[in-house]
Amino acid sequence: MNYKSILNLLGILLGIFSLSFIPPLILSYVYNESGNDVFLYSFLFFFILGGVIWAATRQENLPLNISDGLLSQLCFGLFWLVLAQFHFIFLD
Amino acid sequence: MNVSDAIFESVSGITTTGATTIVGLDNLPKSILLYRQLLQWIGGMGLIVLAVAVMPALGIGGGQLYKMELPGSHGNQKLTPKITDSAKALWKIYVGLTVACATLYLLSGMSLFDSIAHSLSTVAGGGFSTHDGSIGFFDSALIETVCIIFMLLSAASFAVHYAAIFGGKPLKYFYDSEFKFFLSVVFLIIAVSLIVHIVSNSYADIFSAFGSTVFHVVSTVTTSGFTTENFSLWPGFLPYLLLVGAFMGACSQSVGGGIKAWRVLIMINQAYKEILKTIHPNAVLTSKIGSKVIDAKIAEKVWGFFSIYVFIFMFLLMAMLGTGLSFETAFSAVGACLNNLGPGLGDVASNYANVSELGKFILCFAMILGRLEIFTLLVLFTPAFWRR
Repeated sequence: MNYKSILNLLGILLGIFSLSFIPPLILSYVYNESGNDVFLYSFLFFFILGGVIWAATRQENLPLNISDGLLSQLCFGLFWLVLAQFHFIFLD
Repeated sequence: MNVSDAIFESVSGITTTGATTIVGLDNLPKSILLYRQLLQWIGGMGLIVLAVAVMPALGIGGGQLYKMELPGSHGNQKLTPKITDSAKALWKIYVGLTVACATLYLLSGMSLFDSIAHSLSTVAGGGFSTHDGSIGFFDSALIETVCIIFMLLSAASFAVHYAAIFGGKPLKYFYDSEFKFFLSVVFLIIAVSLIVHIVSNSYADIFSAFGSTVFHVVSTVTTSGFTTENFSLWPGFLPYLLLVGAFMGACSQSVGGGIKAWRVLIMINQAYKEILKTIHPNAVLTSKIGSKVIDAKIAEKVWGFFSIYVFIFMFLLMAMLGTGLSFETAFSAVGACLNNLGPGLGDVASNYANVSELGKFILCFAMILGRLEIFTLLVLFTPAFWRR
């Protein structure tokens, strides 16, 4: 179990996938819809969080094994779930 | 929206189930609608990497059988170099399918927004739509055809896509035993459903019966969960037949859910072997899939997986009955969530708004269990995993 590389992969995943908040964000400005703040904050939160985790655990030649990969993916899914639901809570 | 609904909606999105608690999708802000579709799309991508790189290496439910096709899915412990190659290739296939799907939707008459939104959930095998009427909203045979084609493509193993596209074996689709088996089951269910429809005279003409049957059978067996009408009102045993089809589900290493076609194939082979053995007790028999000999240990693991699946199903069914649902509703809700299908029968045929709060949490658990093929989740609770 290599927690540093698990966190590193988690940081990369969070950073990359935070980009997925951009299309809804653009759309909410184009259609002038309420709730665009949530997308903006989510994007910033994930992007910065991912970046910080990645930078803090950066190292060369990450040794990753299967259980590390599984753990980081599951952590990623969990993070995502917790934040994903906020977008729906703010719906009327 | 309250917390349980919000959690249910996001779990359903990320696990590409497609069950929803929202009524009145047509009036939602477009940004939220696109976000729901994106959730499924990301969930689908994460799932493929999980299914191609992680699960076979862990040997989940006999999963090491299909490890030979992709670089990175070999069963050794080092993940990093190979998984990058695999992930890049899979990413290309996934994005390619999505773009092709969106283009075809657009050409068949969807608006730009709808075509992009639906392509995201179609390729992910998800089933979220931007309309309450799902694909039925468009009332177009062309759109349904495009949807059917891409549901089938996303139900095929991504290892097969990889071999066909990057391995220079475009004919792989036609001689992959699992995909062939999957297609024959789909055809069988379509044939049975069509006969029942014709006998019970439930459609005005045979063409609309054919169109609707093909669409819903493909949609349920691939565990996508798009609908054009309420199939829970179909005559006789058909709604249950479709649900049983979803239990088999799609091929291994695809975005579909369920037990997976190759496990069913192995179980059938093994059962046949047992029958032969009762006739010839001393015979030495091997199970085969195509030309591949199936190791007895793998068959054992597959049966182990199946028995856990059934236990979990029973357990969740009891829990859902305990929340006060009718048997039909509880049975189909658990089946639809555990197999990542989406729409069920009875009260949950179109949405899950009427399920109690506790029930929604139970179903969330079912969706996550089903998506991670049960063992992946259970393995986290074993001390041995953390000691490695």
